[in-house]
Amino acid sequence: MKIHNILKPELIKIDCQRTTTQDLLQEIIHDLKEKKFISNDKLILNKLIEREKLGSTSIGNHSAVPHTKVKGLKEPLLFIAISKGGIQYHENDKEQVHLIILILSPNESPIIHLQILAAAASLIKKSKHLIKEVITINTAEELINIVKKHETIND
Amino acid sequence: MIKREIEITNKLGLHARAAAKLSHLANTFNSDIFLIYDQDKVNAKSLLGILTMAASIGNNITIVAKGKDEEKAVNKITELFHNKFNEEN
Repeated sequence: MKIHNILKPELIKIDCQRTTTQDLLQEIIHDLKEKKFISNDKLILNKLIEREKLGSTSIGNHSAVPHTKVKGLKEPLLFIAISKGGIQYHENDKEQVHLIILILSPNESPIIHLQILAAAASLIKKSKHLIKEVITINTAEELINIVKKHETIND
Repeated sequence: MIKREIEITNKLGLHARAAAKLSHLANTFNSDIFLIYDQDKVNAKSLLGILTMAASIGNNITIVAKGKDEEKAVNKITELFHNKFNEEN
């Protein structure tokens, strides 16, 4: 599974100005609701915030993968937010987070969830230059092209 | 060097929280610790590495540890798998 195959330009925010994790998640969920990808926004936001309390989803290389499962969702939803200025994602993080890949997976498919998480982790792990590139982009299409490039090298 | 094969029995597999617990535990040992699954070999001390495996319930993983505390490391990691990462009763 590859991230670039699932990305939608309208679900990419290239210069998120929020400075706290809660505000950032709130903005993304609000956007998903406005664009009618989800309806139960309050519940999903609460689940995302609760999940962060169990342990941060910042996983290194200046990236975080907030995620939760959503009942009734037909297929996985990805939303990418770029914080060019960086965000202190979790109080214990030693580095700022610039790339946020939010994953909403159907409640019934733990394997699909694992595969998307693995695809996101592979992307983040193998690409030290990824972050340098993503913080310079100006359009969603540029981001998709960069992700595609990094996902297809060394394959 | 010690090798031990183990089956994943927790419902959600090596998802983010389980992987975080595993890498955190692995980091408490001096030994080099690797996990082998399918064609992949990853550093058990790397959260990102573990996540790339997408290992789910029913899959078998081989733990490989090499170092002074290798036996303790493999035992403790096995215990974490057996306890289903303390996320199910």
